[in-house]
Amino acid sequence: MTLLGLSPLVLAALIAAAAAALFALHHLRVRPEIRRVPTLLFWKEAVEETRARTLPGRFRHPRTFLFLAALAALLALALAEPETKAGRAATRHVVVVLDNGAALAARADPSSGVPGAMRFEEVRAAAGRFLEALSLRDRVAVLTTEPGAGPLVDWDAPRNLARGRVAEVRPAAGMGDLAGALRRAAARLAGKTHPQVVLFTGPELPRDLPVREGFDRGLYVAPGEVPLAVVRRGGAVRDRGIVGLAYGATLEVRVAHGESAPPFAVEVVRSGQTEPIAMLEVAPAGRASVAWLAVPGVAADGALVEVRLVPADGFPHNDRALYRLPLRRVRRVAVDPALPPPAGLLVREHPWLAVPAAGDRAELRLAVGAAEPQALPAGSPVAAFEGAALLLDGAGRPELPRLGAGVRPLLAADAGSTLLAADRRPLLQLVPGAPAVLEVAPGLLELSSPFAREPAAIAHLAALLERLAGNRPGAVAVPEAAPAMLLAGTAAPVEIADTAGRRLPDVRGLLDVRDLAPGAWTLGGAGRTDEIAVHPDRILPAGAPSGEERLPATPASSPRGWEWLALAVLVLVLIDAWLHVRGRIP
Amino acid sequence: MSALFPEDFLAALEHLRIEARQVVRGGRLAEHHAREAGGGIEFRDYRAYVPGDDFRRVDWNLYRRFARVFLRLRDEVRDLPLHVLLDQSDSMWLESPPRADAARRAAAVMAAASLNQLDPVAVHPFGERLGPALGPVRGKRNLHRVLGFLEAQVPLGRTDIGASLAEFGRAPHRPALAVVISDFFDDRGLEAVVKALGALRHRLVLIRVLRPADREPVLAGEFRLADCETDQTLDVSVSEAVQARYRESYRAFEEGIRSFALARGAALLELDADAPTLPQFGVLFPEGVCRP
Repeated sequence: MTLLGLSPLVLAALIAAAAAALFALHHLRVRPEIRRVPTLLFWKEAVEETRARTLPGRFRHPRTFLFLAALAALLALALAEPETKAGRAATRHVVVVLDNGAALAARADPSSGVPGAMRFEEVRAAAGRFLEALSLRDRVAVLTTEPGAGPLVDWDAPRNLARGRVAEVRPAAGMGDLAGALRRAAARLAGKTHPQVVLFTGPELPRDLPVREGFDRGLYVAPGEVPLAVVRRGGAVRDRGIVGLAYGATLEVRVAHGESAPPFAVEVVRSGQTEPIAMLEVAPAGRASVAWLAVPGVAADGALVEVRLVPADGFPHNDRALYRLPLRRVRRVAVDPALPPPAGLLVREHPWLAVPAAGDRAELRLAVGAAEPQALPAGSPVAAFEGAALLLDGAGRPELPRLGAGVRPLLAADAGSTLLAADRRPLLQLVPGAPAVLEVAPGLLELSSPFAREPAAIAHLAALLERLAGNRPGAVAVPEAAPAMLLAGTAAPVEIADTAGRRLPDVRGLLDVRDLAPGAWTLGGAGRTDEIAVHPDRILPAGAPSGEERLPATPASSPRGWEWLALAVLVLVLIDAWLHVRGRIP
Repeated sequence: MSALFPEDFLAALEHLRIEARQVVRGGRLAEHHAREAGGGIEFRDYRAYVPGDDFRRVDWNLYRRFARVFLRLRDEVRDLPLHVLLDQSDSMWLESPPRADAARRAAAVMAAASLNQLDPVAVHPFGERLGPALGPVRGKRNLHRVLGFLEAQVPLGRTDIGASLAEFGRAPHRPALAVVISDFFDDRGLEAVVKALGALRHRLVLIRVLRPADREPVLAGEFRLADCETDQTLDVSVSEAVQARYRESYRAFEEGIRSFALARGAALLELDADAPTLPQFGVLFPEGVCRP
């Protein structure tokens, strides 16, 4: 016979507590009427007061006390649900695997119905309810998915201790080892009767887990053909969003998505219109990543376009963004008149510059608006426009320079410094000591300089081009240097931190969630914060929470020990009543 | 006249008398015959002269006739002091009506009987020790003083018969009639009571004030009994067996008192506090005369 769910120490404590309570009850069971008498002389002799003053003598009716003690002991044993060998064969062994991977530390999407709740809290609460609902006859062990962790609760631990320890579990800092936990669970169940593994995890299911939907249907995990039931709890978290927009040769949309994201589309709509300019399908390939989408057919005409995700994911701040397309208008950049002679031009690696070749006196080539640098065609009218910069129209053709009033020509024939076109014809000449204006168009620009020997001039030109970049037309909605998940229209600094408060240093450029450790991350900026979940495993899309945390009915078994004890209690009560009726017990 | 001593009660006291079979010589002239013949009035007998006799009692007429010396013996009539030792402990005042009422009426009966024949009467209330006493007083006219003293009695606390009677015994009283009126409930037990009574060098009349419930307690079930004098408590499950043991213990107590009275030659009146007092004194005063 075993006493399920109770260790011997707890059982002894239970019986001792019952005996103490019985002692108190027996002592206090009668509230005697107080009667004042002339003398106690005869009463003392009648009741043998010396015996009544001793502790055992308090039990004036030893037979009644023995009955009550027997009842209390039997009830205590019945509470422990003792079990015969036949009953033990029907004992169910349940291993509860509690997924405490870092990804569960994310808080659920408010639209998922559980606003603000950490998903792991729901998972843990479900496990607690499950343990509460289990019969004391069931043997329970609890594991977590923390790599290398021992059992949280072993078979012989009291049930209340198991519930307490489950309540103390916190999400791990790193990736959970779900497969390893299941293997450990299967190993613990080897040779046990009625084995069962119950996995409590988040709404997303790992792809490599042989799980079917539904709780009641048993599934099996290797090794050992152990039935596995899965309880999924917690709401979905945000798993896709627009993280950046840029306009280079074409409009680029950067979309980040998690592993659980369903297929979605990116729609680009010009402001004020209903027909989309473009619709791009995105099919997440099972890994969290950032997709770089080039949207064709979007002209740089300065219009306002709206980029949005279809269907929306419920996060309006990152499922749509406004973008002002660039304009192909000429920008003016002042050249410092203190430029030392001869004026130099820098050819340096730059997002908008390309160095065709190294060497002295390389020619300067300007190309605007096309993916490939274009050399000025021979006979270009540029040459005829002395004192002016290169101008190209929207199609990449050179245009006449537009010089403002008071702006003197840049070139002077006698200055000696000349910008050469691709065909080696001079394009412009910098005149030392005279103010000059260089007008360039935005776009892809390749510069080469014949003045590479002049470091000061080259550095000056580099600064000039930096300013060009800063004055890039058509301010982008999301600056190029902004990290991922930045809100549209803001250039505020972005902070990225995980739930442990660790921050990513010097975030520049788009953030690829693949670079992040699994877990929950908080992105803050522009006065708002968001959380994303980085899942450690390949997971299926989040589904609805599974059913109740309740196992199927236990197998039928023969009458158990506690039932026999309860029967014995009933018999004793009847005997006690019979003795009362017969007057054997006052 | 009061509630304690109604008029009919007082009227009945006028004809009670105490006739001691013998009294010791000494004291004042009264109505009790002394044990030895003395200088009284009534002739009792003659006896032959022995050296040392008082020549004043020689009957010289007989000497002239028979030439032998005889003494004329006369009864010596003396008084018999009465000391009423009245238990006024808390146990006497517990129930309603209290036993003290019956005890005080009994004291009045005995005092009135003595005062009717010019005997000195003193009343000594006691509890744990002797309280303020009355007397001795003499004469019927002082009956109202005795009654007033009895009416003014209050509970005197615990019972210690041994200490109280010992204190009484240490006083220089000449041999008298001592009437002890009490329930004789002393938590020191019957032996202490008997020892104290036995130490008294007086003629004894014991009046034990009781109630029928003392003998047959009307209790059944669980009780916490509290001694009215000591406040000591005792939890008792009053079952048939316990009641039987109680009755046995009480009967032993009664038998102890009776045996002592019989051995000592003391009169014993068991006075039921719940019944009228005077009719119960018929046992002690047959034909209105008490002969202790």
